[in-house]
Amino acid sequence: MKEFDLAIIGAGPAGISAAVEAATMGASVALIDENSLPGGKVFAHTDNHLDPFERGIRSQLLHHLEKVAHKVAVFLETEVWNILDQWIVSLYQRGLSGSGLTDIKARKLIISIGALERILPFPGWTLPGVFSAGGLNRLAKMGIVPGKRILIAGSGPLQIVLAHNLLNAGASIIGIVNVTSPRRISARGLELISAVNRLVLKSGLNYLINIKRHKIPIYFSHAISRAYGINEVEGATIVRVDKSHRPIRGTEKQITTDCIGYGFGLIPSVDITRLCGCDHVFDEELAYWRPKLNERMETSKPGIFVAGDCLTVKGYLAAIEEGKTAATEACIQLGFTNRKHSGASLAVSAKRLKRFKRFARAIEAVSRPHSGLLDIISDDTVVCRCEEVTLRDIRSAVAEGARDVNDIKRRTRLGMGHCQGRFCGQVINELIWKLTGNIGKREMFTPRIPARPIPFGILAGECGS
Amino acid sequence: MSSEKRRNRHPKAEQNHTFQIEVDGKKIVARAGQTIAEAILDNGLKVFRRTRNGAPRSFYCGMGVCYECRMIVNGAPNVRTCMTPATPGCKVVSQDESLMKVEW
Repeated sequence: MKEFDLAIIGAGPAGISAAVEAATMGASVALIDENSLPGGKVFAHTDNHLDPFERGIRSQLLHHLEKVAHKVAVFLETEVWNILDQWIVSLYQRGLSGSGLTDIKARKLIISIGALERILPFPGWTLPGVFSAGGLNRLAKMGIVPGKRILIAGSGPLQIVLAHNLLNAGASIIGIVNVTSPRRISARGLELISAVNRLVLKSGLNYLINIKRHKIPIYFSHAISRAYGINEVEGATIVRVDKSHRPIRGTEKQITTDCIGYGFGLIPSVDITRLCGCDHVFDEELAYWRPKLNERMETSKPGIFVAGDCLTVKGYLAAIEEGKTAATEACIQLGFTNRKHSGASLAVSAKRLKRFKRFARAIEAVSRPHSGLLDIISDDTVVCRCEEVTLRDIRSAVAEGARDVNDIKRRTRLGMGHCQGRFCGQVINELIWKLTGNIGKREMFTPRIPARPIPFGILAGECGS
Repeated sequence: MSSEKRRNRHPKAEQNHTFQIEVDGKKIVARAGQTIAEAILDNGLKVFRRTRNGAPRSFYCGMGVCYECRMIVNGAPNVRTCMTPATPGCKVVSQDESLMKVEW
């Protein structure tokens, strides 16, 4: 079994900067990512498809990584499907040729697997042509426009970025539906402006000017309540919502659209930290689970560190700082540096991070969805996309006595599919509470291995050999 | 419409070479650097597979989480096309899970 001082799971901005920092200090590093290139989701594109600022950051990261290549073993197209104590990381190398299972051993772990999209089911959201906002943004950045009349719906700053990228790709956007009320935004406006990074503010304003110039209607305090169509989406209904995001009957409007980009921003991806048994807390203000860390970026499991958007969602500039910090803390434990020597650079990162954190918290608190939106989910709405479990199925399970998420999972298969509950798991607590009329304890599905789907033949082959 | 603008906005991308891939027996054009999913959507196709209940599904999250874009690529089922680069001549078949015997 190959041994490393440090294994880093996720080669996005946080993972790469952590690898560079640790390797520079002398640690041997394994850098693992499921994609075919390092860079994470944000830099998944080739240079042609990034704006100049992003291009600069990406090439800088990759250049630094190149310089320490002799200390860093990069595992691409590789899924982490299990982690055992002290730390044995089980890998599934996917590549179309030569796929297989291997284990590596590492003295310390950094988990930097990034974020995933915050979703809320609505009737018709499984129709082809309804994309997650992040998914559609990815296409737009590649210059691909999968529709002639595009509707953007949900909330959060990603909407503005998506609209901008779509317009640049030549798309025609027929509306932006945003659940947030302008009043909620203005209530924290000062806080947002005071905390925003200058570069973010500048590009944000550019994006807004671009949207304004194209005269795209923006529907604040509105949500999408249904998408319809036979094989593909052909139209949508939008509806006004009240303060708690409950749809207001009689305010529905029909919109003809063949492409919808839908999402409510990002939330930390916590399945790997949960698999490791790290403690997590539910952040009530931001409405998401995040791993619990001490001031040294270490989880409740000594030797496991977390950096980037899988801790709290702050974007790639913050992720780079957190990656450096987590790597330095790991290297202090490993004896490659000490606090006296690295104190100054830790302090610089901490100072930069403070501002990012303040801004991210303010903007997420403003744009998060509220529970009234659950009223949009009808009985025949698919809640678990993978196993096609509808609200009606959940209702019958509750009627039969199911009261917690794992019981619902056992009875309905909700959360058992390919995505391993990473989408339906976001709403199942609230749905149970709504159906029973009692707010119970918030919980997540019990983590199970394999954490990522592995073809059965490969697992069986491993057992046979 | 968009192709004209696209050419102006992404001059470098247009210089990239193109090649053919096969989707459900039909040849479509892919650009170098595209994933299989991107090539399919760029050609105006949206339905990637059918669930075991026959419901049509497409590319959704675009980042390898949802597995909705899974297809049969060069004979291997359940390949996430959003994470798999298109390569010249690769054969892609949409998955009809109502006809597949294996339970996953």
